[in-house]
Amino acid sequence: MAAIALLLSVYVAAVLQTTLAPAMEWRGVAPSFFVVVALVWSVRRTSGGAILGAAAIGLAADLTSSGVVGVNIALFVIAGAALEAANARLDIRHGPAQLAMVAGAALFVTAGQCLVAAATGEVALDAPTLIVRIALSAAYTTLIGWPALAAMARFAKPARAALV
Amino acid sequence: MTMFDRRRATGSLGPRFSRRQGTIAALLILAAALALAPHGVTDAARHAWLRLLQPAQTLAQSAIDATTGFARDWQSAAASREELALAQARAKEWREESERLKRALLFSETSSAAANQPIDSGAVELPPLESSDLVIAHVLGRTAQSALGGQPILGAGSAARLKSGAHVLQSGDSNVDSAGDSKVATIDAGRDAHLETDRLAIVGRAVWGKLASVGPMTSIVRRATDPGYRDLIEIVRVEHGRPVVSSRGVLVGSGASQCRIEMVDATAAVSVGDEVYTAADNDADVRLYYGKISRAELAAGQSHWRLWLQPALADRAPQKVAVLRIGLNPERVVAAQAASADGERR
Repeated sequence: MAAIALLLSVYVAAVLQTTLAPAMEWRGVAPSFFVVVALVWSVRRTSGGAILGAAAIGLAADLTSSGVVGVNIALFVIAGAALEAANARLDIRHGPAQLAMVAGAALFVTAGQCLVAAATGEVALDAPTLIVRIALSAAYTTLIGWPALAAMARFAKPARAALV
Repeated sequence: MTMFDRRRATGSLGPRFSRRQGTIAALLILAAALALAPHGVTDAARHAWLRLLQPAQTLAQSAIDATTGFARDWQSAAASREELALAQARAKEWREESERLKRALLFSETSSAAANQPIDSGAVELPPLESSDLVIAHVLGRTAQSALGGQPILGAGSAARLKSGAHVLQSGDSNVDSAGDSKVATIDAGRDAHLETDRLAIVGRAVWGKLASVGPMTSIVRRATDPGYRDLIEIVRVEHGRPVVSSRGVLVGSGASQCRIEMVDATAAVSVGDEVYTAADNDADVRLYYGKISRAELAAGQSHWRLWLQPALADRAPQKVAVLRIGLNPERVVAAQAASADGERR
């Protein structure tokens, strides 16, 4: 059941990323629905489930984009692990905790994608422009992801003491 | 319990790695492998995935297009509604303005028709009771005054029918006398020219002062800036390109280069730059110019403005002035005498 839900959410994220995100583009920056799905997934899953889900989302992101396959898997796995750890230590029913998780994940994934793209020559931007784009993209994703995470957090249990 | 059993129970892969860490490591290795995999493999997977997404993408794109179109139409409709409301409001304003103008025109035509109605042809129209004319007088300098023993004398005397109080106007060809800065301004016209006290002395259409005293052949002029000078004035401001009398007040000379204006209500609309004229009782009266308001203050709680006027002739000492002489119309005097003679004969 969880696997079907994961596949469905990954599929929806991919569709939104390829249709809705371009429509929502502002100054060449669009939100990442994959990050939003990864956040929502990490709230509901623990003990490695979040990491596996994040890997699946990363794979979908890789296949949807034109970049090197594997980059997003690595980024989302690391982000998923961090989110899982944060979920275990923080009480995500509180706004600041939610904001820290959303902004942190969005910034990490966006920065990783941009840096890899710049390193592989996919994009040719100077450092200040790259930094501004990363910040704007992360902020935009945070703007979209925070309400989703807040909605999911209403049903979440209090923070667990520690990881297994 | 053997080491193998303990590892299986705790889910750890070894003393240094937990199961979670192992998962992460495995996934990262998988990611690296995919990155290094031949493009053919990844491209095939990518194409398959994109084909899988295509139906949903088409559906989603249609929904987005429909939503965007609806939003655009709604915005356009909202803008049209706004424009329509604005146009209707303007049309209403114009209708009201049109009605107001129609009423004003009707009133104006009625008033005008009533005012222009010819007086009964049988009526006898009397000539105006008063008549006015100008007498040119010279301003005497200090030397001339001392030579005349301190008694100012005007060049135009009774032969010119000047009276005390007649207005003094500068003639068009007068020159400003740079040396005529005497303490007392004196003109060479007095009772001999039928001048009377309190008549205005005028340069061009600007007021220079008033006749303070009238002698046999000379008159002393109290300038607007001199102490003791007072006159009723009107403050005129320009609103919508038309001059409007905003209020009345009293101009007071203080001996300084600027005059003060008193008794102007705090509720009056006054500002620096407004022009000041002599008060006129009706439209037929000629307004003579004093100058501009140079300073305006209204302290909290005060009932009147504190105003200062910069006279138009503050720095000028005219050589010639014109005195406006006002008196009985000779035609009326003759008519009255004739009527009196007729009455006596009857």
